Amino acid sequence: MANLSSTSKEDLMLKVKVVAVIGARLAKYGAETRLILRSMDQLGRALHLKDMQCGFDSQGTKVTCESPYGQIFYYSKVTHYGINMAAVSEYHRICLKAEEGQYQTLQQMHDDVLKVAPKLYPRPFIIGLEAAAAFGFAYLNGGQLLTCLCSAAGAMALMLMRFFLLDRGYLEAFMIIVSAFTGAMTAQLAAKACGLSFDEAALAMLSTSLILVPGFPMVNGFLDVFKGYTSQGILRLSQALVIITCAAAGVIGASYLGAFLY
Amino acid sequence: MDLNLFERLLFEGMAAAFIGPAFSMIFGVREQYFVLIAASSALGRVVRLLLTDAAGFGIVPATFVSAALISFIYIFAAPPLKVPRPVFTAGSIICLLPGMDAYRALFALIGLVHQTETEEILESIAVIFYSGIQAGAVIMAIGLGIAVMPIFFYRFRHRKL
Repeated sequence: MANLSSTSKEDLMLKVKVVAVIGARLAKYGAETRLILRSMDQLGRALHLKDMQCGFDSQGTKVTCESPYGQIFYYSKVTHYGINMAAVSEYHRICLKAEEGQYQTLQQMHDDVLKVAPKLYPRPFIIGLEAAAAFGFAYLNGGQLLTCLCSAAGAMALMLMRFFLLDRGYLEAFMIIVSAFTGAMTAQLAAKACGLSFDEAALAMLSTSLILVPGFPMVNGFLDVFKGYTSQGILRLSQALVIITCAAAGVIGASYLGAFLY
Repeated sequence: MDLNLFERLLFEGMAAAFIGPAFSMIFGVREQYFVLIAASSALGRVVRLLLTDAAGFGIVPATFVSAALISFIYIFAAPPLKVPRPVFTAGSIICLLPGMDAYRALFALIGLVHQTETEEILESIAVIFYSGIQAGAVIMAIGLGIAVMPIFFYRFRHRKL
């Protein structure tokens, strides 16, 4: 395999492809816009690509560079979005290693890119910790011990439903509405069984649905807006708003049904 | 629960330390960063509580200071670890979210549909405005705190136009 400064046509095409693919993967796994563009830029310089230009929008990444054989162009489409910060960190590290000159050949870099896999935790572990988080949310919002326990029960039901729907490939909006409804309903039923007041039951429902807060799109959206990538930032904030609206719809549905309990 | 300030700091810090890593785990953050996220979550919550309860700050400026502090810490702590900052900051600010205000505004909005008495309607509108604006302001304070701090440190790369 050629070294990083090789200028054969095949190698140049591969380099352009690697830059576009890493950018698209960073976008797919939820990196902020500045990080995507900066990483592609770093990688282009490390690969000695002449007059490289890169772009990113919500659909994909595109890279062009000048070569003795004419302009080389590669477009990498982002097929679907799924936030995974471990993958973002790994791709970011590859770009930093390339910039520091730690790769001798394209093959080494290519191998590292192929090795990156999203980090997934065992589901029972996630469900347990999310229940603990809902317990914590209820406590932070002034809940009593029983309210916190009802929130934890609701969060377990919510996560179970979320994984169930995820496995069947439902759209995210539908998944969030149904999960929020299931979680809130379970929390409410648990609160009723424990003899808690409506206010305490409502607090349990709220704490349960707080684990659906779209933290990463929100933070990335604000970062994008303030760093000058206004359109991308607004897009991300809109996605966050859609998720919040879906979660609210689920909780509203549960509270309507809850009117029959109280 | 009737707790003094120290106990509240302790318990709320512990709860926040649970919430941060649990939230980050859904988004695939590596386990070796959970300790840092737990520590900054707890710090953010404790600082906000100290500012509101001991220093007399309002909830919005206190939230802004907490979020800015978390952002400031990771401007220096994240680069040596070669990890992008949002990996830490998103999980750390989640315990600052305005749960009760958002909930009150949402339920007042639902209630508004069914109310017929003018007094009840006015009361609901007041709750929607007060709690809704409060919740929105806290979310804006979090966003500003996280996003504004780095722009003091990072420079625009293409200075020669």
